[in-house]
Amino acid sequence: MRPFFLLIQSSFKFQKKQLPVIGTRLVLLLILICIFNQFWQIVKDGNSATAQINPVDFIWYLMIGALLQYSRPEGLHYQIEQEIKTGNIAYKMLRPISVISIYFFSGLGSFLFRLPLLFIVSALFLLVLKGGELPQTFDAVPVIFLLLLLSGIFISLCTVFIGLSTLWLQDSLPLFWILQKAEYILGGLFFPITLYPQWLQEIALATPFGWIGYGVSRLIYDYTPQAAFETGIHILFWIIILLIFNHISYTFLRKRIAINGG
Amino acid sequence: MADNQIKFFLELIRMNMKHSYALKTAFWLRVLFMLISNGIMLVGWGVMFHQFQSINGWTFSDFMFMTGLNITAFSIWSLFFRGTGIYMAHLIENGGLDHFLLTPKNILFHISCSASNPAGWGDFITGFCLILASNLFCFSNVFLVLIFLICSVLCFLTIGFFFSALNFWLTGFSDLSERLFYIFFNLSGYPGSIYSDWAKILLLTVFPIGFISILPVEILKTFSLPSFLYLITGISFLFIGSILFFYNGLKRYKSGNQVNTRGYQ
Amino acid sequence: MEKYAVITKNLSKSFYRKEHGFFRPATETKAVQDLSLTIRSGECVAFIGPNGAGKSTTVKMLTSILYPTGGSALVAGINPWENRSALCHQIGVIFGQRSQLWYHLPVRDSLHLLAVAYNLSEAEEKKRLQELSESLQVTELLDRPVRDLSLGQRMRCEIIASLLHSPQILFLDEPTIGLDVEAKLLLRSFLKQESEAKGITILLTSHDTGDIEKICHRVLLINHGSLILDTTMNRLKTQFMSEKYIRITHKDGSYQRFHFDPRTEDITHFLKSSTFNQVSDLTIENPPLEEIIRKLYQKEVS
Repeated sequence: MRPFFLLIQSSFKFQKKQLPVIGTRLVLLLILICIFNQFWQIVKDGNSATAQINPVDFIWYLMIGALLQYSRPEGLHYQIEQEIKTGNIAYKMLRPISVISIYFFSGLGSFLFRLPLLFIVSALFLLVLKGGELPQTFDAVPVIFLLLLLSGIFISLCTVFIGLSTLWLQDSLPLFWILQKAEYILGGLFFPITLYPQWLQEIALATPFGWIGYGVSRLIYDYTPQAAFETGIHILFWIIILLIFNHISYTFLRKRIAINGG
Repeated sequence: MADNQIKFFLELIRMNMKHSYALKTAFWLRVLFMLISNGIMLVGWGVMFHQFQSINGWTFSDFMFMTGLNITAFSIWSLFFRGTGIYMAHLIENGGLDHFLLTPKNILFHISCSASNPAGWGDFITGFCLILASNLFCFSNVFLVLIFLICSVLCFLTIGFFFSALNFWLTGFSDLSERLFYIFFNLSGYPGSIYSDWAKILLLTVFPIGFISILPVEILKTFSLPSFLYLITGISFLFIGSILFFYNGLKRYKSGNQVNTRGYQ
Repeated sequence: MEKYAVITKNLSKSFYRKEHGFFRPATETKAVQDLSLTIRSGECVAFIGPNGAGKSTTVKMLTSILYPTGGSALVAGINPWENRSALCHQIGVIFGQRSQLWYHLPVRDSLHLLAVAYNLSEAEEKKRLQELSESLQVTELLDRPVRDLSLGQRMRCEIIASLLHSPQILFLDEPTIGLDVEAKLLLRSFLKQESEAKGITILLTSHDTGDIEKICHRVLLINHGSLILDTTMNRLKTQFMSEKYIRITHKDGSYQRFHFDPRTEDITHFLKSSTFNQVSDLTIENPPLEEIIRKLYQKEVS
């Protein structure tokens, strides 16, 4: 396990150089919060469905959901794509640790660095914006963090999978777009999926995105231990599925490169 | 001379199309997946408007027009002017402009037209259908819509030129300049009606996405000549400003020695 | 045609770099200082000098890529920074490590784009392309995508790309870098023949003395951004190293080599004093160019 901790550690160090990138993301996150804050104030009146969720709960919900998107490292899928396209991956396979885990763990490292940072800044921003008012079940933050970590692992695995898809698709970008949009819509990043029509709610919760998005973020205003447990189990299930997928892809990659003779 | 410039740029765009079609599977996958991804996004907004009926006076049809304009303009950018943004930024940062400086044609547009993303076709189809489907569009205002489209493309180019040219001054900025461009693109996708007056002033001056997401729909809903003139003069002003900004930076250009070939998707 | 291909007067270029903190003044590096030179049309000139001497910077200023910080220049009678587009029609540039070809497309397509860029008519394009591709032996490569070409093949196509518009002045920056012996020879003899047949001016920077020796008549040594030496290739060979290499082959097949300086030693004395028996052959050679340049650089450093 030690090499992996070292990887996470070195990607932590790398993050210091990445501060301008993180800064830009933070600014975008705050702008987004402002836009949605304004949006919710416009739509909340005169609609029975939206009346169930008060503005403070809503904006915190949105922030938690967006955290996952904004803390993860960019371009992981693209780096893997380039490794496969240039064939460099064949040389890296000679090393004792699999290339894919290197990418996965360094991605996870930068996620671990960014998540608390972005959370603290945007939480302070929300406190100022909403006059110090907290969402209903703010105590659930530690549990939410734990679940966000699980979601981070899931998303990193997902990006690795997309990177590996280059093998079949020549290109990793198309699947990445789908991932992004699925996170937005199925994850309920516009507003909680309880406001969706029934059929769309069912679709969302049948995919991992409903759980890593809505499943985690709604705990900020509607926390019950059962709900948290249910979300955790679902995310774990999808992590296992993706581990299997990635394993298959990687084995395929090894074989294919062996056939091409490197 | 002028017609020679045009002939050259048409040829350049033809080359670009050919280059992006060289990898056929990747080409078609990008087009297809872009359509799917736009579809998912529209379902989301559809659900939202279904829930709220109108957002501060904007109906789903208004929103469809705005998104259509936005996506079509963006698709024209990614099909024909994909060279602005990260490609140009990397060229400037790595000192790769030499070849462009040595060709007797306009350098800024030569770089801009030197890359193309086939996914743009997916966007183009989506955007075009959305404009046609919107109630705001009718055959009497085709001309107006065309002007809006040109202005929106110019708006994206302005932002692209500006963030790319910043690399003449700032080192190690190239990845950020692409990201900042996308921030502007993403923000231009929210309905213009949700902004407060202060935000609107900002979006119609220094962060010019209001020229895409606010003014066109408002003008189509109730025509006002001052707004229309402001749209045209404002965009021209910003566009010319960004070109001057680029040429000013070009004097600071440092040539480098990287090995590279042309073509970028 | 202009009488002078290149005239520069006090041409200078400095780079500024911030190294410590935002508010400290930037450190200035003078890449080129007060460079004044004239090159007549039709001359073949080599720029030599150690790494970082300012050769590439000079070439890049003369080709309008870099703006100078001081001084003036005329290239083919044109001010490079004021009339870039007109200059482009007069000059051709080959940077060994740069590509102007499109990766996934056949070479022919890239060349056609350049023909359009230089306003060549279809007939001109066809004639020139045929002429160049025959003498560089690439006719059968033109329809292959660039990604399938070897480095040497690609380099030859790059040269076609740079010469398609029949430039009057040719700037070559390390044109043979990374090429094999065969490709180097082909390229050198092609350039030589082009310059002799069409009166093209050539400015070459290279670390390969073979390139310099085969192509150029005149040598400019640049170091620390200034012109140190301006001389002809013949004089460089005779004047700057008086040492001779003597090789004596004996009848039994064995041979001996001597270094010998005619300025300090008397050659008859040298030959008499040596104990040779049964000499079958004797050659007296100038030292190789490589050796001369190495000596020049060493003198520069000390």
